[in-house]
Amino acid sequence: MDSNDSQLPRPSGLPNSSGSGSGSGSGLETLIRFDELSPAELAELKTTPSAARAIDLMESAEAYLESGGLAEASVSAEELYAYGLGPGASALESERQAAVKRHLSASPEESAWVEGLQAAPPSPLILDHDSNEEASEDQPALSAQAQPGKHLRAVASDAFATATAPSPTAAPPVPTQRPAPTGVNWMVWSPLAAAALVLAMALGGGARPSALDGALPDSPILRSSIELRLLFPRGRILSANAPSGAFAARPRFEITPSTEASLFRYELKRLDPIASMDAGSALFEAGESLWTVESKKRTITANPLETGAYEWTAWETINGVDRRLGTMTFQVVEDPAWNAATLQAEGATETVIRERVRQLHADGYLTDARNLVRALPTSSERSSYLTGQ
Amino acid sequence: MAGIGVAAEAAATPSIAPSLQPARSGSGQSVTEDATGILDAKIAFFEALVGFRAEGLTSDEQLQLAANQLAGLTGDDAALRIALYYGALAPPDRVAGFLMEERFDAIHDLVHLMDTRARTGQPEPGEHRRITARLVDFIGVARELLDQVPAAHGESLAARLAMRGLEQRWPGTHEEQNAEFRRQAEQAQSSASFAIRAFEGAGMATPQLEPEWVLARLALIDDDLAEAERCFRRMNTIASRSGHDAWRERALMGLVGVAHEHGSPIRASAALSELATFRSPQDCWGLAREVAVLRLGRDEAAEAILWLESHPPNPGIDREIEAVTAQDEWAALMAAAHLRADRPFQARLVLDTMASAEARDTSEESERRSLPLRVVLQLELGDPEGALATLEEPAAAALEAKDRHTLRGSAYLAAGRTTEAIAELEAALAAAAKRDVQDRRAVVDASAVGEWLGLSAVTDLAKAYLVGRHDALGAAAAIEAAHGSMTVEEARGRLLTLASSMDLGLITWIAGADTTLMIHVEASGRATHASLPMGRAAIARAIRRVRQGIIDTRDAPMSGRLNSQLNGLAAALLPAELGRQILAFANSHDEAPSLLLMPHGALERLPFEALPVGGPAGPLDESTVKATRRLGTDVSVAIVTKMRAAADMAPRVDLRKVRWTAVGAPDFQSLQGLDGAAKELSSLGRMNPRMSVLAGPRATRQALMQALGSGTPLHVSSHVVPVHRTAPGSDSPASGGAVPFGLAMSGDDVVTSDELAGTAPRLPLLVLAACASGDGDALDGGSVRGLAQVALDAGTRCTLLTQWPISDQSAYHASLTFHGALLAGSPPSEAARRARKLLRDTGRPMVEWSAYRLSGAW
Repeated sequence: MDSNDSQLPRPSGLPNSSGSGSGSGSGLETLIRFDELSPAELAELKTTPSAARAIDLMESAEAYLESGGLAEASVSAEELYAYGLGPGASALESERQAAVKRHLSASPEESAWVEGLQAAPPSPLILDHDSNEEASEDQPALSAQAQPGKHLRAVASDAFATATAPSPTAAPPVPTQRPAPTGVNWMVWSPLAAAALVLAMALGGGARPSALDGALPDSPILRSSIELRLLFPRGRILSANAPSGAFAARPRFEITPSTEASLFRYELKRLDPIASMDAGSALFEAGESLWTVESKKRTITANPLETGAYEWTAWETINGVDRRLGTMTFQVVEDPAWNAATLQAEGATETVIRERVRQLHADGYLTDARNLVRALPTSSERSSYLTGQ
Repeated sequence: MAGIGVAAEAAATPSIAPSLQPARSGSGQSVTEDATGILDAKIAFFEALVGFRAEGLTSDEQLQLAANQLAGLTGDDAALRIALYYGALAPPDRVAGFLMEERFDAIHDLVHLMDTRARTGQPEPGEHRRITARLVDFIGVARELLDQVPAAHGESLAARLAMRGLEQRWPGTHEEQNAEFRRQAEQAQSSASFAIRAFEGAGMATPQLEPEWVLARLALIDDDLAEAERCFRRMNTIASRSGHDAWRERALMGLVGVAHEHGSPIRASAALSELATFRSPQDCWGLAREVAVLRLGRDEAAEAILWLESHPPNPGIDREIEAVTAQDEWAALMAAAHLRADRPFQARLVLDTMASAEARDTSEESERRSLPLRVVLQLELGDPEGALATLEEPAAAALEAKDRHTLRGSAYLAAGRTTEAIAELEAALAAAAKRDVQDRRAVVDASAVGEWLGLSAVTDLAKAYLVGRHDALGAAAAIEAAHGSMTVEEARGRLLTLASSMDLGLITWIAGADTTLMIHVEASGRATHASLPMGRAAIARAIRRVRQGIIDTRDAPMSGRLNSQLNGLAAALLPAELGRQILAFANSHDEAPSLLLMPHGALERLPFEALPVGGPAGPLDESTVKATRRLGTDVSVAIVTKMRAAADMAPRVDLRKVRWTAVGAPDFQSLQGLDGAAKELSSLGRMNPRMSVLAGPRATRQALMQALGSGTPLHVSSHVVPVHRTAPGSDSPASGGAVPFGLAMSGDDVVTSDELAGTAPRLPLLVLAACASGDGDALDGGSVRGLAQVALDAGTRCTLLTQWPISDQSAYHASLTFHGALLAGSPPSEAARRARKLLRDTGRPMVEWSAYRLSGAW
């Protein structure tokens, strides 16, 4: 384990909505006041995937609320928020309470959001304006522990903050106990309440570790236990042009284990081989086979992949009969946000690797994130991430 | 021979791959020692039995002891039952039976010699008649004995010999209509049935294999597929227990054949997987051949070619095949694979080689095998008149009727003789529809129209209506008639009724081998069509890629690639005027327009809900993407893959006023808890006072089964879990395992799809808020075999299903919105639209909002 490990907050579960209380209001307030930020601040806020996602949600909510949704309703977002007894909310008059109740009975979705408000929204992020220092690799920007400098970080829940002893080398944490916003603060600006509704909807109800806790990223709970046989590569993959540590530089094709199979066959096809075709036209084409290989192993490593779209298929042979396990497409893309240095595990501390895994995951580079996770010391968490459980 | 059948029976179980028998705990014996011990016990029992029956040298107690020892080692009571049977006979009756079995052995040897001479081309004239007469005499005497086992052996052999004669005259000669043919068939059936009863009475299962096989073959001649399947299953069970691999192979190949006749590649595949557990495709041409057939059926032509190249028939090893026949079959399959891979010249090369072989062996059977391929090749090469001439050759008379009609229909269509094409193709469809109607209750995972006849015939019929009669509505009716097992005229009337109940009418699609047709029937009854020069393989490929692109949006923002792909699909598969109609409707109405989509074959898995409408979305740009109208969020779409009569489904009800049940969020130790589902059920219970909620520990198997059988609307929020497909050897009559999924219930229980089907859920509406509740194997003509389809098949009117995995949290929001809209009076398709729209408008990725599909017309 890296020496910095002791500074890492342990993922003791999530900023659970009932535990975070209203003390995290500052973080939420900062985030939901996203449209008060300067373009530069907003851009910076958006560079952190988790924040970007939350902001996207709120922008969507604004659009929704302004274009349809509540705009057509007989009650306002503020009234909904107050009715739901959100943090800092003032009580509604009985007449308005009845109106909101009538409205909610016809709008179960909104009703559900309002229910979510009774537990305080979680405390996701703080945009710290106090310092211009950039985060170093050893002190990743996105960490559960407060860091100095103008960067984003997670705000721990109250319980979380007190349970984690600050390291002597760590910068002083930003106080997490800020005065709770008053009802007026919440009410004066209607999109704020609307955004709170959306946050409650988007983030509420979770009780699992998130990327904001310092834990490895997790996937949402699905209502299924059915696994796809083809694991990786999938989705977007960073180009191998620069970094030798990138997945695309030494792609590893992986399928789920099988106790019955005696042989596996893999085929890789290049899609869109004709440059002039767009993806819509090329959609129906079979693609160009690049290689086919048989192996007794459920993972194989191939030559570097160029930028482009691909499709791979795997078969397994059981009792002499091979059967197709599935076909999966993936794209190798250039992304200026990621370079050789940021994909190298060599020489990086565990903290840094974890942070990069989180960012890769949040950016949708799951295959690269998984590749990088292998550089971490063996642990149940690492294992869970690799197995997707 | 005397007693051999008995000994084989008594030793049945131990001879199953002894190496697989686990060493018994505490015995300290190795597997090999166990096997040796069983063999010794078998011999001891056999000797005791002979002594007991023939000479009275063995006492009843000694025989019982030997039987007990064998039964103790094998865990099978066959030896005990046999000992009991003979112990009940008086000594003179035992001796009489024993001596009769020696006489039978002599006749059996004669039959064997006759077979050998026939195989080597030296048959002796009149030999068959002489042996049969001797056998009849033997049976006459044996039937008089108290020991019925010798008569059973005689009847079994007589049935086999009669069957051989019947099969030589069938199919194609129409002699099945002949009174003598019928008489012989009935005699064979009577002999086989007697043999089975007598062997059963004597506690012997293994000797029942031969008469069961005869009964199965007779059932096939009678086109009684259910009876044939029952016999083959029973054979498989007996052969599996007794380790008779040759019989087991015949049983499983019989099941494969029955599966093809039903139109069920799922069942065929399951039987082949079992066959592969004890036969290698290198040594068993039947297995290799059927694997190739399944690949061709899945449009995997290139893989079929590779497979056939590495798995030619091997008559030197495979004793179940006849060399010339197997070589013909191989060549025919190879030619078919080349044709499907769009390599007509390679196909011709293979067929030419086959023809030169036929010149040496001009058997009618050989010609019959190559004829369909020669016709298809001629059509492929643009020679319909040549194809029609080939279909006039004498060998064509031996073709199965549906193949003859289909080939003629395609040839007439290609020759521009559309009236004749329609007549031929409708005749082919009628035959398939009849089979589907017969099978509807017994076989849920089959489609004779889709998999026995093939959707290309349906596509050709629709084309004939379009080309010959300029009748787009007729073409749509032809497509729906084929899927709904009704006449084209019936389908035409129902289509008009359905279209008029929708704001934007309905659209039907069908993908053939090389062409995809789309027909839009507007609410006014006006029908327009478009043709896409792409076959089902290309369509399926495109759909697979788009589905994965959508699923990838769970982890990354929507890519420009996916955006282009969705645009490409919409441009190719949606009517050009649809977007304009949607926009026009939006300008004049407050609510979203309704539209019925009727995809078939490969198109059923197309995620219509995500397709852009109202013009291409253009390049990927966040605001453009957000503003793009999509079918799932801007149109109240419902999907129907098969038109059903009102009597075949639950009646429409006022969903606001009826009692509902909601089951889910089960306590299941090994699965993640579903907080969202728990919240969802709790909220639904508060929203709708008529909803009974059974959540957590109350979400039991019993609760779900009861709700499924209640006839009232049901909401299920749970995990979908994989369930192993039942092997063909299972005694369960519905063991095809078409839908290998189940719903998790409390107490770590799973309600499987078969159990779900067993409740015959005839519900007005079933909400399956679980992962991929509508996904499964695609069956041409039979829809995607998911859990939702099982309910629809049983008569459930509508289901809200999911096309791929969904998150617990999104499902919570979708469900609440859906039910809220229902309570406000929206029909299910509109409620589903609102649920999708809510998720989309609040920033949920496409994988979440477009997952929900309303299947069934309200």
